[in-house]
Amino acid sequence: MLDFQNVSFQYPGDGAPTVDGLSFHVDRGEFVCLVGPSGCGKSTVFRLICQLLRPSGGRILVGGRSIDGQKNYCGYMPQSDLLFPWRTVEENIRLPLEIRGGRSRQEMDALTAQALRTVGLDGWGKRSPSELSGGMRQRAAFARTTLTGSELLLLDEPFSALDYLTRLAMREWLLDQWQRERKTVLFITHDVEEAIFLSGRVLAAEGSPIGRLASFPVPLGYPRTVESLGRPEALALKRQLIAMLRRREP
Amino acid sequence: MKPNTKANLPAAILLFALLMLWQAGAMGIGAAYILPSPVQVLRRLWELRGPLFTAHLPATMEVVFIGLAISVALGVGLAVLMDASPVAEKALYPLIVASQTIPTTALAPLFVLWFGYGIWSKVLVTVLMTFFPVAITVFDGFRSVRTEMEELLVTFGAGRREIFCKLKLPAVLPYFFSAMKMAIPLSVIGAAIGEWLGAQSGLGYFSRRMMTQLDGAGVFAPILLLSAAAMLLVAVTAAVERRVVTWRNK
Repeated sequence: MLDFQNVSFQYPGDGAPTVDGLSFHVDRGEFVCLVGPSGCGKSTVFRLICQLLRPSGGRILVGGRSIDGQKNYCGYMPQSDLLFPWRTVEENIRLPLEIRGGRSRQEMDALTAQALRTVGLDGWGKRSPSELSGGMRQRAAFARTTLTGSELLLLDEPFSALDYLTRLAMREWLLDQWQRERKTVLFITHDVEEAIFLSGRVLAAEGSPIGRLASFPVPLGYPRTVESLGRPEALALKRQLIAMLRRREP
Repeated sequence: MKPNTKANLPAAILLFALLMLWQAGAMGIGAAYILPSPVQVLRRLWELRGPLFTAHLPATMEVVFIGLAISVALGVGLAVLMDASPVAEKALYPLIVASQTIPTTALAPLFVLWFGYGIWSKVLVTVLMTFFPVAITVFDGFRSVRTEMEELLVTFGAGRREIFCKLKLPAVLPYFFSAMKMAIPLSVIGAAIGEWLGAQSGLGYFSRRMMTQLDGAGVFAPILLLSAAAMLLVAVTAAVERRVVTWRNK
């Protein structure tokens, strides 16, 4: 579904590249977490996939084709929900449909209503985003991301600003969504436990610049609960990942 | 309404005390051509109501409205241009700021020379005084738009026009209303100054004529009317703002 082939990128004015000869592959329908210490360039990888940044070398493929000239191939969900305060919840969720165009008002309304139901915000569509709790806002942002209609979802630490209990609930909720829709998810986090809980495979950044990602299959089946994290194989992976990330910290 | 009344109480009390002080001072001096008392001013306003309300207030308001309309068009236009093009920003911004060091009041007699005693010399003074806060405040509004929101729209496939309509325009509205609330009193002052320097009608002209007749209360009466008109216009703008910008302070 997603292929990085020897991709490099350097911010103008920086002495060293942020991404250096990076190659990795994500299969269709996979849930992969990308972990690494803060500031190692994880978000840069996402920005490259969305074409907010242009790689200085290498190729990025989505669905086997280069992303150059492709449109609507990925849904990006940033760290903060970025709901527009002047739009109601449903108007926010509808944004990707409006921009893509080609649909009648009724079709957009139907798709929006369905997305609201799916994320459990039925009846909240006419409210202002400011009336929603943190978890609800993230669910609304997720609904907006899914309405891009893309098979590839890029989630950039979407739960990092939430309180602990909400975060736990949101993780379970997200897995539930994924198991239903089976989209390809690439999820950035610096929380090792979150990565193990969510993903089928963890990609760990081996230091900065990101040049190689170590791949760790998660030895847990789905569905998962908070208790799954207490299993010996999960704990072993957690220790392994933490030890690895620690080594990388300056 | 009630909490509002309560909030305004200290200001009302202070205003009343100042007016009392003024009244006492004026009565002490006892020379209305130097310092008329508030009661004398009100009485004169009532006596002069005919020419003031039917001839001079409409003449001034005409200048105010034409001047404001041109200022808003010019100010918003410049802001949009500076937002769209960094070159335009680099070229225009310093000039716009520098234009404010020109003492418009001192130049105004020149405008009378150029445009005569008709309406356009006054409109020019008004425009020169009001386009600046509009241009700068609206431009600040454009700059306040969060880059992440713009990027999010880009990932949805939005072009410049969609980013402008769906993000920048609504985001700039609160700034626009702030600009209007600054520009309205300035436009009234500008119109009055223009009329002071040369006109055949208008409240500024009337005030000056009363001065040549040593009619102190007659000088104040049109000024009182000007202030009231400015306050009323600002209040109307604020009411419209409350209807339109429902998301402010959320």
